[in-house]
Amino acid sequence: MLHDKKLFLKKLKPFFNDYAEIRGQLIFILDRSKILECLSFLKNDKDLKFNMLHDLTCNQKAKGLEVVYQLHSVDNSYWVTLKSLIPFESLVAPSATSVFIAADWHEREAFDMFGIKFNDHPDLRRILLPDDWEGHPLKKEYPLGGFKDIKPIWAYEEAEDLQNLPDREILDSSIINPDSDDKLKVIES
Amino acid sequence: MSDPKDFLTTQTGTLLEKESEDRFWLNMGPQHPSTHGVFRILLETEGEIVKNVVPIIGYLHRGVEKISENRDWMGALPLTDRMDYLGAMSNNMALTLPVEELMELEVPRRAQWLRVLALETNRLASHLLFYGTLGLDLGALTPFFFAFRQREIAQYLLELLSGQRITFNYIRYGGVRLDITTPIEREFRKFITGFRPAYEEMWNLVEGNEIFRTRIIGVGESTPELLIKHGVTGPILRASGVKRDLRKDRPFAAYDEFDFDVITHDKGDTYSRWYCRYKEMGESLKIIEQCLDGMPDGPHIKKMPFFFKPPPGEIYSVTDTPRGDLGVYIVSDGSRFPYRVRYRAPSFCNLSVLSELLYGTGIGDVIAILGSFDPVFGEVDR
Repeated sequence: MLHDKKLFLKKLKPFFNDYAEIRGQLIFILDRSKILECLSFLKNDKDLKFNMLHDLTCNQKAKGLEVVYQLHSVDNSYWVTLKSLIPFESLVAPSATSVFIAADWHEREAFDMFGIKFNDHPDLRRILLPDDWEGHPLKKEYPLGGFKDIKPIWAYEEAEDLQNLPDREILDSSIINPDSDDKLKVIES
Repeated sequence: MSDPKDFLTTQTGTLLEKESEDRFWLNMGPQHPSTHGVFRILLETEGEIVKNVVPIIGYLHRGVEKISENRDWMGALPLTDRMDYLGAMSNNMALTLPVEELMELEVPRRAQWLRVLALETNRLASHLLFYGTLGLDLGALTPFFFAFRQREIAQYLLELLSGQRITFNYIRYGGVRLDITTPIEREFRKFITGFRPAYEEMWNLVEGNEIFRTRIIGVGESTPELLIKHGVTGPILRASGVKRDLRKDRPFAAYDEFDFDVITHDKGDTYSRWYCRYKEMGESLKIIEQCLDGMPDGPHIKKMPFFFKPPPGEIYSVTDTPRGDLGVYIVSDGSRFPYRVRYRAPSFCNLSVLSELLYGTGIGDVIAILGSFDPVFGEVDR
């Protein structure tokens, strides 16, 4: 049993706008302003006791980035998902570190990969990539080969020999881009 | 960078302000043999005592999540082997589980049992490596040979089962790749009979050893509150007395059909972590034996097309790996390709507790504590 649906709906009523249930997993959708309030409620409530922030990540949508919180109660073995959409115009989310210290590294990773800022985070730096890295790789507009051309030396030599070879970025997106129908055309041409 | 102070400021942010005359920054890693991979810690020490810890990770980042988004679902599966390369089976399992849940696939019962067999053999191999390397970290070479003699056979068994030694790619969507045959089963049984005395021997080798006990008992003590606060899971959490195992609480594969105990220890120190992993090997052996005895008949895989399209949706599923909870968050947009795959790596979360846990310990104990955490950096950096 991952959750107690009736209890959760009753307890979380003041916080969420909408909820969904996918394959037994409860997902609550909140406003950005209510994230911290909801997290600390879930942590301190005596019946729920969500004492572990299991995961925090982002997911890119059409209008913004969705911050996804996975909460877990070790005592009751409950699981719940919270989501909040942060629009592209102001990519700032409240930092959950004041409630769950586990959010520290996860938020740094989300910042590293998506460029989302977390307000009041104690130490918001890149965690996996070098400090001078350009761009945020997990955004959909980031090309697989990266913005900087990092071809190995043999690839340069080949490119000099073969005229009219498309450059690396075009090659990558054409081979790999999932929904492009023109991928075969590009390779053939 | 010319000025070491500038360098430290960039690496540690605001932390350097606390620096005083009698404090000293010590750099450990990333190529230090006892950091179990490419891990770097900056230790601020006062004499022998650690006063500040700055873990630096990311040296092995390969962008598994980004690459997965650009491949189809089947292509994303072999990448998981490269994350936790010591428990690659459990990583395969972690990705197949949410996809199967999303597609509402019914996996044949024999396939589930074969998965348990593979997972537990892999867990055994992983914990054997831990047993050996913790000894190495503390300066004892002999346990390493005792462990690796057995681990070699376990790897051989996994090779027989899956065709690969390290990166198995064995657990597939809908089942497992290859069925077990009678000669392989016989090899498994031979291993079990040979392993039992060796298992006893391994206990006697180090448990009573005065030097070993002094180095690990009471070192790096942690409370359940501290570990839960940082999201630490797996044997490390169990070693502090929390009886939590996802194989029991949220059973996947066929774990609900097996009889085994969840090993806990109450102290939460390095010895407890060693104890839990050691005893878990015995439980794994129990499960492997039950697997061989009661292997059900039927197909080993549900026939699946190579390219398939899971329905749109998102799932967060969690499995228990030798290192803790591996959470996989998948988002599908209904196409052949994953829209988003996120791995919540257990070692990543486990390491985040270090800066708090290492405070006030000696430099020598840092190695012991880090060794007892058993991190795999392929998984931390992904």
